[in-house]
Amino acid sequence: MGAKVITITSGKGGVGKTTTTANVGVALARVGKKVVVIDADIGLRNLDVVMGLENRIVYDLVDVIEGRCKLRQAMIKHKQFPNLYLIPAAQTRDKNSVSPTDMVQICNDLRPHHDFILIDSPAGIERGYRNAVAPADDILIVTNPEVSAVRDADRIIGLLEAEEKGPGKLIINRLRADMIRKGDMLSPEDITDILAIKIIGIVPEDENVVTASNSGIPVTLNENSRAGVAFRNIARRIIGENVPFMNLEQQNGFLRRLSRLFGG
Amino acid sequence: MVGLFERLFGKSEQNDKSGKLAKDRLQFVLVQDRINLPSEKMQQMQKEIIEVISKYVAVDMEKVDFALSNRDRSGLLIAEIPFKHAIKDDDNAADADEAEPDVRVSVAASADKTADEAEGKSTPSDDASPEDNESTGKTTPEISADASSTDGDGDSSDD
Repeated sequence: MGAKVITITSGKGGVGKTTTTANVGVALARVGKKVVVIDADIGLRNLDVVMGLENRIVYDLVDVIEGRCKLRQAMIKHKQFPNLYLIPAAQTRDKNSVSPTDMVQICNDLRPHHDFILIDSPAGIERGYRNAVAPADDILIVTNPEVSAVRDADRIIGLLEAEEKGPGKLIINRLRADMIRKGDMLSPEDITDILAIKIIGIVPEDENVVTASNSGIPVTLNENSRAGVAFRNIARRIIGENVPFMNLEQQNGFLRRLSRLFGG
Repeated sequence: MVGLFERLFGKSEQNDKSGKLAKDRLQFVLVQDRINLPSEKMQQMQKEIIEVISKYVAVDMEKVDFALSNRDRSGLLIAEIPFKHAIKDDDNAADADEAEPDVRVSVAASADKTADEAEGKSTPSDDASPEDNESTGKTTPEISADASSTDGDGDSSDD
């Protein structure tokens, strides 16, 4: 009943969990879904700045858990989408301030009033990860086309299977079509061969992601960004639409024309 | 024209490219990660497998080979155990010098987490994913019977 809880995790840090959470959250809100995004990275709060909501924080996740405020008071409404809320992580506490049971309880309280609850997991496979995964109905595993990130994704998939939470769906972030074409980067096919799970998104490397986080406006609101399109496509797949994957050739107009010319 | 496209972007030379290297290295390291069996236990298991097989056939210990691979998300143990001939009840190792054709036992065991699931995977399935390229064709336990011994039918031992 109620909202679907989706946890975004990765094992390895720095692969784009927070960027993915913010952008998929915004993309779902954009099509009218009622969305709450929760930053479960206690002590390393970041979802607030990526979403441009850092100066509105009064209460946080740990304040709710420890009874210093009502759940409602810790929910920060997004500037542009009144149907999108952020529950920020506590910055001055550690991950042991939260238990998996606490996360399940908070999500159960939110479920009746929303369509999607997205949880931004911390890196690693310790307490913070277990907190983030505990209430999940579905799990998105973010990876990069690099050996270390794919290895850590495999570890997460193994853990999820062992907990019967899996297998989860894969997002490959920061893909570079030019390097794949030269044979110098793992392709989406290589990665799904190795990990043997379903893929829900392929996000190209895009410098707009950096400028978007500079300004606190998620890149998916930039109509000209290819990464933005990719995040919108992920949101559409989450709500059940059948969206074909972007053609990698689109990254470069010249190459696209050239390959079309040669029947590629 | 496709050839030109490939030459322009180096598609035909991908075997020595770093992307291929990354995939090979990942497949190797993930075999170890997924199985998560300490090496002394792995050694012990291999020793016991050889012991069991040695009760029935004279194993050529020099050429025994165990390898680990992947199928989907399960580990795969591939054993190549060549043997000279079947062992009769009154046999002992000294008889092993008869020039027999090389006889091999190939065993492929799925190292999945649950034993019953492993049994269910004992035959090659059509939905095998492309990654089991090294292991395809070794999926069923098989004994090549065509090279059965000429010096007596050891398969009907009466112990």
